Amino acid sequence: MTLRTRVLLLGVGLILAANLGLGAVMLAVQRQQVLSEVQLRARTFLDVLGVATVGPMAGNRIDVLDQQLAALIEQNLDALDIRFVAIVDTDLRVLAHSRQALYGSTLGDAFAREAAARDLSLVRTEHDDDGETLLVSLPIQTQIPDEHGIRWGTIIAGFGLDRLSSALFRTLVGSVASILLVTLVAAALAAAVLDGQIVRPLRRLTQAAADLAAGDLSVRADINGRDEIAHLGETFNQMADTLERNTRSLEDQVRTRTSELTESNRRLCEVNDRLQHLATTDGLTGLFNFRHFDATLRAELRRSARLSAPLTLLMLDVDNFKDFNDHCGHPAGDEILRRIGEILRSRLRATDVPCRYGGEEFAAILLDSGKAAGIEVAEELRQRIEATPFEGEEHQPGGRLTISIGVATFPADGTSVEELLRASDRALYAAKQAGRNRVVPHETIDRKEG
Amino acid sequence: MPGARSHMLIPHPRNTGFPVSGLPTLALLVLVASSCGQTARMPPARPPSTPALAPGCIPGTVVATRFRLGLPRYGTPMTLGHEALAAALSRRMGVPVDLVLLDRYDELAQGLGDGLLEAAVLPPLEYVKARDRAPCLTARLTLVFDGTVHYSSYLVVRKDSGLTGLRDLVGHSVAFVDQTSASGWLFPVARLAEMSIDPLRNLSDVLFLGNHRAVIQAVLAGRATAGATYPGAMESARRDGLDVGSLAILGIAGRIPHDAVVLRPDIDPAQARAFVDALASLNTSTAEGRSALAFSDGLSGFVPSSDGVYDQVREVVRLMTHYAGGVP
Repeated sequence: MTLRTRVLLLGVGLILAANLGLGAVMLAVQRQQVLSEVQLRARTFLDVLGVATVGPMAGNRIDVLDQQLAALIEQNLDALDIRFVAIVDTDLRVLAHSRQALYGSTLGDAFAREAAARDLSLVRTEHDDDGETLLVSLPIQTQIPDEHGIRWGTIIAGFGLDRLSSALFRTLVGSVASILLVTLVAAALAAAVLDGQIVRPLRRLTQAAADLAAGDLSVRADINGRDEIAHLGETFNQMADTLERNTRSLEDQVRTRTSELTESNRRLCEVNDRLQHLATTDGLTGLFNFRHFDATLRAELRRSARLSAPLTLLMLDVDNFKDFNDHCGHPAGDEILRRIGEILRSRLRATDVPCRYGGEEFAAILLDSGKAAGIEVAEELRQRIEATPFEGEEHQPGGRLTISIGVATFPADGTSVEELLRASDRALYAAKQAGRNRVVPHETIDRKEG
Repeated sequence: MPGARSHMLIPHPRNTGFPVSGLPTLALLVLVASSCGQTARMPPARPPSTPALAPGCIPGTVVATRFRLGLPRYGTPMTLGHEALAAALSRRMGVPVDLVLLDRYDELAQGLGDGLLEAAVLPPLEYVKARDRAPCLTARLTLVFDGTVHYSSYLVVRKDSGLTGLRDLVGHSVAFVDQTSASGWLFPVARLAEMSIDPLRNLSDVLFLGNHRAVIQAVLAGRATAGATYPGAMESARRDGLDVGSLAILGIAGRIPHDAVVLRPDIDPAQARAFVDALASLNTSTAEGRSALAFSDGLSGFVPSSDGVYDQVREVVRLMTHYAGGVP
């Protein structure tokens, strides 16, 4: 059930209840007023009749009393709602009656007895087969105010209230119809006012809230006025303003933070690259260091085994390098090592992996290279270095700086890192033993040793 | 207007002054009520009347062995019905009651003062004057005629007189009863005075005819243009065959209380109360009451009263004193 329906039902119910209650009260008041008016008329009628009656009563002029009542009857008692008029003496004997047949009889009803016993007028409403009757009595007496007087008798009259009841019933019907009409008109007006003042503003407010919930931060409730709903709309708009402002600020902060984070990541990558470089590179020669060499050799061996591709390992050592250091000093020795590194880098393929193995020892992994290619590369390197002039090499035996190279090939000379290193190392040792400045493949060692 | 001071002292049924001198010289028409054991249905019991005693007056101690009630004659033959009243009062009081019919009002008041009467019925103007002279006299009952305690004074003219209002009386002759009559002089003159009509200056002639019947007859005969009387007199005249229907009422004056019943101030309160209660119990609603009151035409009974009832009379007397130098 919508709010409008509920409010309308409540309003209609309240209006109906209020109108019905008010109608009932007004009807009761109206009945009382009309009854009071009838009572007043009845008592006035009896007062007038009483004045005219006291003389004949005092003079025992029954004939005059009868003539007075006859004159009254000719005035059409029904039109005055007078059902009967009776004049009785102190013993309740009827001296005159609108129904002449009752002359001489004695009234014995309770109202007549009470009326005869009272010095004041008596008024009572009774119901009988003829309907509702207002009974009124008036003592006929002669007296001086505040003194006891002579009681001659009593006038008793009955006034029919059917016409009053009918009039009140018509009033009731008219009131109910009016109430219903007023209620319907009031309901229609209330619906129109409710729709314009509450429902439509609430719908606009609801739509704005839905749009806002859907992410449209620019939406605002279009509600004017100075009532509570307008205040709610104004508060909603203030909330939307704040939400939009905070959201914009948050997005700006996110963008700033993202930019800062991107820059930090970039710097971190650079650092990492440098760290990676430092972690895998020898600082003096710029070649890969032993750790990188070892990891790479293991990985390449697994790859070569998986692909059944050849791999050759060169183990290089500067001949008589200790003597060179002794004669030329360590800085000159370091320069020799740096220049040998440059030669390795320049003469090997980009896919090959040259590294400083330790001290004056170097190694190179030649990927996808068999023994012959390896020996060829090793020989070229040896010759290149032998042909390269180095400062201070004149102190070397033969006046030239040379290197010895041991060559081992996967899988012929070994299938593991250790086997391959040991094979290349033994070949290098054999090259040293054979007089240095030469390239010795491992297989030749085996044949010589074998 | 020489005629204005002339008296035609003719008795009338209700309000009559008589030129009889002195109470002792009057024949006391005593109607001794015999307590002959008549039984009559008593009216419904009523609360005892309140003893009335004017301020400064002390309760009396006189207990009458024969209770004498003075009455105006009202122009009625003295033997007509008074015995029944005396008998009824005697039965109720337990002492013989004598009714004394007097022709002059002042003799009634004087009889009370002289102790010759225990009670008296005083016309309203006479009561006011008597009260002025003897403040301890107080109205205890007021007579009821035709069911009412008041009556009015009528100024009547012939219908063919051409007069339509009281102002038209200027320059015409008017007949009155006498200067002691409330309805036959006092109230109608007061009514004329209210309209700035001075009878002595503005009327062509003022006639005092002594009683109401004479006033009515004078108007009918054309001896006076207008006459002052009261409804009871007109009704009585009608019954007696006078052409009252040819008269028109030109003006109505006052609501005059009927005669007052007073007691001598020194009467014993218990006996006074017994008398008042006895008289108040007699009215035309019972056969005994009708019989007892039959002596006076229209008399219905008696109701408890007080001095204040006669204030209007007193006020008119005051007005007439200012106007004409006093009331005779």
